[in-house]
Amino acid sequence: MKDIIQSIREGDDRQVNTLYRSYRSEFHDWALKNFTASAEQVADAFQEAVVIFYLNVKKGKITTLDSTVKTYLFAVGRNVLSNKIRKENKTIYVDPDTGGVDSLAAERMTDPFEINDRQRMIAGALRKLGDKCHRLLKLFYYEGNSMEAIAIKMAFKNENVAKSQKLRCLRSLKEIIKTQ
Amino acid sequence: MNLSEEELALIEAYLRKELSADKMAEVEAKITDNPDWQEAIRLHQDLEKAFDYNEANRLKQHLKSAGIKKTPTYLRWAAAAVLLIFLTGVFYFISSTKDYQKQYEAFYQPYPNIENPQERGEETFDSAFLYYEASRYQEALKFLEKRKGNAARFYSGQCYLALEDYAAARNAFQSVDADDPTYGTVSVWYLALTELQLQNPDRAKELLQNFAIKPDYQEKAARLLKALE
Repeated sequence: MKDIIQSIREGDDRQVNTLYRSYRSEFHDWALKNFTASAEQVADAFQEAVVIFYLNVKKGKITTLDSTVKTYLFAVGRNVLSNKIRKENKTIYVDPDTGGVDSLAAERMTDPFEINDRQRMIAGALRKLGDKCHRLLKLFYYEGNSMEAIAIKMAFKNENVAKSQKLRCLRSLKEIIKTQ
Repeated sequence: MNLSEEELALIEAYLRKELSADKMAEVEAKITDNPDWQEAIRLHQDLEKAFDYNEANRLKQHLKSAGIKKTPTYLRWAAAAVLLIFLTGVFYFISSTKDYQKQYEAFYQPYPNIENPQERGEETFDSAFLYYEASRYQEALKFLEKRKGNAARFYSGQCYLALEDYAAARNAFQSVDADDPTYGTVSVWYLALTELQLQNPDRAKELLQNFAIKPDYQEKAARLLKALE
């Protein structure tokens, strides 16, 4: 299962499904037994846990595992579920041990679902941006490509054309934000 | 915010840690003094977070829809029966025609670019690998053909495999020196896969048995051999 880290880093997006399907039922049973939570809350928490783990690996924030993938997923899922219960139910919950889980490692992961108001506004504006600009900015800000690489991937004449296009796209984005 | 294109490029290079120590310190001083530079940094970081957030939600929605698609039990049994009959037919077809496509597809994955990863932002950037990473294999081949060495021959083989020109892929992988520490043994793995596509399972088995495959490939090689037995 450790190969999964390499596969995700190499851009194999199918791994997100594999992770989800492999541990969904087990997490569901474990969480319902140990938490006072609804099935919907548990399902939601596990979906977020898989996404958090996946994106942290993909973006190089996790490069090796001290434990099994399952242990990580359960630790992240436990944290997400605890927060959900705290926010939604406002009740005391049992915080069970996930059995040798490195909860610190789980807490060190960046949570892509946690953003501030300005970032949420930018995220909304990005969804309204035209396809070409969205792709260009995604290649740069999400995938971390150089402008030279973007010029080739998007069939621009050269790097300078890609840079100018990027500035135009940022201007369009700011216009959308203004009108939101 | 009125920054020039050069200033923005400098800020982005700073955030990606691509500058020398002196230049980093210079940029840091500028950031402390200049609100426009501070805003540019903030915007860059906010854009990264915003893209992560959108991608996270897209993936979550994808998982959610995968998790709720439920079919009535009787329909699932009926579908399973139809699938079983279909798969039995497919199995006999595959067995009778000695088609090794299935094993190839189960094991084939394009080799990542380890020569010139884009993240490094090296000055001596090689167009061949840019095209390779963009899956534009015909264009990558034009540059690779001008280069010498095992890396060029190995990645040419990768391009031919992706383009489904298996005879050319075989020639390319065979031309890689077997004792090359980086590409020697991994070429054998891909040559074995190529031989499967060329309907030569015996040659594929021979390659997998007789060569010392890199540790990363040992487990895969054993599984492939088992599948071919």
